[in-house]
Amino acid sequence: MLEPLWADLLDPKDPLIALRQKGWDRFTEIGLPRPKQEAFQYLSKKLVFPKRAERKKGAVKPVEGLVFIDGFFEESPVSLLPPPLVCLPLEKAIRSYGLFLQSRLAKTLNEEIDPFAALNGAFQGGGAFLYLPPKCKAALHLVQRFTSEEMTNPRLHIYLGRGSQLHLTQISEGKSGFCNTVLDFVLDEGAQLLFCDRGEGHFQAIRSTLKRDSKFKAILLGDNTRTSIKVQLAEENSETELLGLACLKGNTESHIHATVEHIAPHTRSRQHFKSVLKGQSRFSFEGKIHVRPAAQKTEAYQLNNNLLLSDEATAHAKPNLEIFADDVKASHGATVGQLDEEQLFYFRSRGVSLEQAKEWLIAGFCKEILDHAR
Amino acid sequence: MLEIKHLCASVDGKPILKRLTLSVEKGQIHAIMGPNGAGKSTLAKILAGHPAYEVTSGEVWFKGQDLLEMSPEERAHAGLFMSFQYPLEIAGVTNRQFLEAALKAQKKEGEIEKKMAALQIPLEFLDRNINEGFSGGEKKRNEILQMALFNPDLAILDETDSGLDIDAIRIVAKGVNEMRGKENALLIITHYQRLLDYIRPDFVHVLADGKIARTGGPELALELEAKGYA
Repeated sequence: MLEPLWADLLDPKDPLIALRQKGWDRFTEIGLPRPKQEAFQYLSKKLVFPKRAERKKGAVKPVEGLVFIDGFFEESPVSLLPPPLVCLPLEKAIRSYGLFLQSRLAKTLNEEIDPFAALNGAFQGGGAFLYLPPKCKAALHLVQRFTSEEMTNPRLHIYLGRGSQLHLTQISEGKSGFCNTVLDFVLDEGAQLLFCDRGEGHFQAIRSTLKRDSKFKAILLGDNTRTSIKVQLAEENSETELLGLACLKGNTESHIHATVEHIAPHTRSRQHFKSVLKGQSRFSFEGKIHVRPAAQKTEAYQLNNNLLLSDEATAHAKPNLEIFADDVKASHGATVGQLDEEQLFYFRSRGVSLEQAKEWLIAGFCKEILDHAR
Repeated sequence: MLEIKHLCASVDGKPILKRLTLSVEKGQIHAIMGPNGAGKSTLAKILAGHPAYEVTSGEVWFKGQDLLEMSPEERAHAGLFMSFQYPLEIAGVTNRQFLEAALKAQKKEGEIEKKMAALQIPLEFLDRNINEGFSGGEKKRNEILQMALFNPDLAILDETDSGLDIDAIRIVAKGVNEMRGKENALLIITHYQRLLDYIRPDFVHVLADGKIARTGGPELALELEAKGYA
């Protein structure tokens, strides 16, 4: 069902055609999720791909931060960035930062095993590249604006120079019909990234490679069908913390697929994902910690807690550890539970209504994750 | 104030209370003593409305109302309070939020900080999560603080003295004695006699095998302490 869309897209004058072709080739190798394919087994089987969005013409009011409209990056002056930051459309950036970008793009596509991330490579709107100079500190919004319910494929590459710090918050405006995002980060020595997702979308792939002494922290609070997040701790003393909270109701679903690769020694990772499920909602967490033979002194932790507030809601937890080094501290765990009856009774015996007591206990459950995003 | 008539109750299908009858009038202090497993805590939890305990027959009347028909929060609003044997730690809600919301729900006003000082509870506990990191004695004092604030018509103290050292017992007893008056009543559930040295009961009952086996005055507690329950 995607082939006709791909055929429509082929335009020899498109500066991104080579990249698109690589993405499409990779996508056709991987293929859409098959029934019973492990990584997608909890996802609703029906996928509908609307028509791909085109770049919208017309004046747009400037916004502070990085602005994507229907998956197309809007350059300055729409995206207002504090100096000295410059964010370029991918086709321009490939000329200016060709050496870095060409190899990064090739690497990410070659290693990609997620079909939606590969599909983004082919169908991307106008991607963008943001470079943070060494020691630069910035807090930016990444604004995804949707003007139609067409298929959008935003793509953003960010390189954090030595010792730079970025606090990036993703938000969305409007309603998306099908949004398939790729966010790719490279953190140079000592760089720090805090990524907070508060946006809405469908599929999302977050890829990150960390050099020495850098730290990547992601807090996923948005509303996405499936987020695939992969962090490579490529050099010593790099560290990542991946956190998330999904509060679902009705017939909604949300899935987290997290992979942390400990490649170098003395690297640390911590994953903590929670869900609060009402109605017939469905949540799954599949987390993998992969420790390579060289990654001695790794510390890796993973935890998933699910609060089921309805008999019809479901939570699936699947932690995986693959450890090939011998001097490693690692743990994983998962819980699925309901509100504590004794705690509810304690509140009620003091005259607090059942409704208020539930609200408090749910808020208390969420707080552990939300506190990180304050 | 409280009329319990032929109360039968079970937990997980096992009968615990067997036709228990007890009457408490306002202004009175009753102590319920008895061996472990006799049903003392079950009685306290049933009176407070714990959903896990099933009343199979009998009646309980509180200030003329059918207590068994009321939800736990309605019982609290009507003026019933139970101090927990094992007060819970609850993350995410501070003591202050909890106490203020509970006072508001019960349409009462109370001077939280003044009562805390009287019970020698440090003020910084207000901004900590409920009972989180409190010692056993601090948790029990926090229960007595709630009792003092809500000023209930009937307070049930479930093993409030267990785990308390003698100084803590004195503080708790002082709080209880300050609250007692002609209009309210107290039901003290305890395994040991020592709390009764500080809070003098009008009646002492022995609860054995799910019913009141003996009733007497304060001297009964001393006799039980000396001779045991056998």
